[in-house]
Amino acid sequence: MAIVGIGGGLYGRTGTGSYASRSCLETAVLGAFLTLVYDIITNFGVAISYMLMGMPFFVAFVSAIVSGALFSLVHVVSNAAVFGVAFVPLTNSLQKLLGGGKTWKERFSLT
Amino acid sequence: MERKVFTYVALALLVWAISGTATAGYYFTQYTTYQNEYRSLAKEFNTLSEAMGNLSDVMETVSLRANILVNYGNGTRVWHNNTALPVGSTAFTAILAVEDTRYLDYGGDLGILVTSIGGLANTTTCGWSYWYRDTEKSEWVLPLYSCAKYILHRGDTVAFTYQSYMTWPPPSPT
Repeated sequence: MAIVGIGGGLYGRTGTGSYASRSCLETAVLGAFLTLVYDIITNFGVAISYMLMGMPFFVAFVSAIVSGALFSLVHVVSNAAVFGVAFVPLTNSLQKLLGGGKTWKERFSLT
Repeated sequence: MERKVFTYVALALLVWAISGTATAGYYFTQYTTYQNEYRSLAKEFNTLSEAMGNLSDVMETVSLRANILVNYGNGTRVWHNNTALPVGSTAFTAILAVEDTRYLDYGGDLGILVTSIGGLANTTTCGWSYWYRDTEKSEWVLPLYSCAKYILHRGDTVAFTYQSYMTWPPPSPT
């Protein structure tokens, strides 16, 4: 989850602080990628349990990835959709709530 | 700006490639699993079929097949063709196996007399008699002994007919 936070932070640094419809696509792709990374890490945990049962590393890792593929696919697609749809309205609402007309970037750069 | 676009396109393609590969792997393992199960089932089915074939051969040795005609005398005729019966069956056990039959056992030489078939009972003028088909002479034979004493042979044809006693011998079954 920390990776997702770091990814979001890095993405926030690249922008100007105001987000438009193009950001939807960017965050959707970013969300999908980070979800995939998350799934690979969690599947690695499953692979470790396979290895403890005596399976070789590569076979265990591939088996874990393959067995969780359908869930991972649903996870990635749904997260991409959620990120793409919810990012812009959510950031706009948070900006209004926390900084009025100012963006976060402006606010944090002042302090 | 273009570099940023390429970065996101590359990320999207990477996600698609990894997810697609994993999903394809998933379906491949499913395919392999179900193919193995299918082969295993087909093998078991073949084994079972062979066993059933052997059982069928054994059953053929301990059973016979006979054709049984029931003529109710009112135009209704019911054929029970290729009826499987145990070896040693008689005309009586055959009719008992295929129709709702009532009978009286007089014992001794007289033996069993069929009194009713399918709810149609003997009266003072009409009653049930049985015939067997002589295949060599191609004619019906009316035995003058109990149907419980006529032992069936493979491929025999027997008939139970409801006929009047007024004409004797009664007309052969048709």
